[in-house]
Amino acid sequence: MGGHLHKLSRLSILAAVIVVMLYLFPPFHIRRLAGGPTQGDGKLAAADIGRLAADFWNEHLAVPSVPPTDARALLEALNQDPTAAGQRYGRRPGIGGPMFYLVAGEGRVISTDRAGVWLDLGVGGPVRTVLQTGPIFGSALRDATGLLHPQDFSSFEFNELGARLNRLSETRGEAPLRSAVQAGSRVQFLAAARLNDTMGDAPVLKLAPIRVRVQ
Amino acid sequence: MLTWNSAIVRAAAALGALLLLAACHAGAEHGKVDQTAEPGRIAIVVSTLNNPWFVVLANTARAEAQRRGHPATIFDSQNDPAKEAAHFENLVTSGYRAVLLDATDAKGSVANALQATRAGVPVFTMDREIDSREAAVSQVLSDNYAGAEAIGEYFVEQLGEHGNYVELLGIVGDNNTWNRSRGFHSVVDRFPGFRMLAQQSADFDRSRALEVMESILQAHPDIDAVFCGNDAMALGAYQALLGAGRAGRVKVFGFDGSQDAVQAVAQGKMSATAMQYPQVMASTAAEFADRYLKGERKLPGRVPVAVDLITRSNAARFAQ
Repeated sequence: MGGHLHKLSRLSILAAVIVVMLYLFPPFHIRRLAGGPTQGDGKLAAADIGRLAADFWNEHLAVPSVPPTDARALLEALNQDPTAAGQRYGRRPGIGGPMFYLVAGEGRVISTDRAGVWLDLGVGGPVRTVLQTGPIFGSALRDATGLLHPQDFSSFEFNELGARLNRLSETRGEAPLRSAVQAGSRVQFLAAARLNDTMGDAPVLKLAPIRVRVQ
Repeated sequence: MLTWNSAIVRAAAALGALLLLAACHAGAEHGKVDQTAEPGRIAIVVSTLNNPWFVVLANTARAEAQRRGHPATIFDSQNDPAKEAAHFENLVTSGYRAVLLDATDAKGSVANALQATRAGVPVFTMDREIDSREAAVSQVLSDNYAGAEAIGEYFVEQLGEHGNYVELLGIVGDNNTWNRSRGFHSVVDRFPGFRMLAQQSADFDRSRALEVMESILQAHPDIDAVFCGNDAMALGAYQALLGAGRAGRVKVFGFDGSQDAVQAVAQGKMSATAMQYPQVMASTAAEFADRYLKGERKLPGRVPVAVDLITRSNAARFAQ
């Protein structure tokens, strides 16, 4: 029995030495599988991107999987300090550029024009708010939730995804606004937003509609 | 009672479990960051030094690499994929430990980058994308599409939603060319009042753009605007318009934010351009290379760097 124990302790020591050597010089590594829907190599067909956009709209925007910011709170913060508001409430996919916001709120229609439906959210200050109608440009819908990451797509795919989401806003989000919206109507909205303040004009919070209800 | 066989079985099972644990453990692959790791030489392979914009990119990358303790050398590919390939052959065998790459061709440069990656030399692209996730650790790129969207929106506003225009494209093998063109068209094509009379490549080159624009003006004398995929071409197009006596009547839009173009916008010779930030891209790529060489592995695969619209109302802010 003593001999067996002696052999066992030698075996244990040998095992311990092997383990230490394997820790220092691992023979293989376990890697996470590449995440995201693509390898980022530009292999997604246009139809795939369309489906991705529709799925994202249905699963993460129309029923937001990220809590939207209250529009009044955002507007107050933007009026006070746009930079601080961006850091607190905003998201963006890379270095520099505008911040994007997922917002929900309610406002009274002031007027309508080619830019869209101008709203009074009951917050004083220089920043005006417009719920866009007509063509939607930019990447607010893609980037406002922070759920879509550039490293999961090629640049073409990522850009096309943003464009498809914009088209969905035009067809689905804007639909309730196509009937005559009058000054004084109340509008409830869920939207992706960015502050447009680049041209020295009065800053405008542009809302790309996701879900709108006109009362 | 403990028998020899059961002891061996138990020891083997324990060894197997510990082997699995060792393989999963954060060893060298997951990067214990070693700030004292010996610096390595970094190669900066740039598409061309015949354009001041790329000179800024390359010099900034070198300066940042050196600031972080890595000797760095710039290699000029002269817009020639074959020269780029030769550079990679050289640097892989010469002991460079990382590459900062501004590619000559989105597809053609993949093989070069893969060669380096498989030889254990990590590649970080800056400015120009390559069509492979596997071939580069990180790609630090201008958000060309968003910048061109902004140009497109301003274009529409300046022309009153209608007009005839011409587009000068960059190098056709460069993804930047198509991201800018697509971004621009994603806006302008939504307005049926616009007609594109010609679309031709001038290879991002000023002299080439002058020749191309002169030809286009002979075929289409009645244009309202020209959108160019970079400022060098925009300035070449402007020269052609001057020669034809049409400068001031045709609006010129560029991309890059070169100082010549910023001045031209401030003076009203050009309507707009879009400022890229080569210093940000280059220094970020160099930073990523440094962090990688020190053992860090969780680096973002693709980082867009925003581009700013420059018009006459804000050009003074961007003038140096």
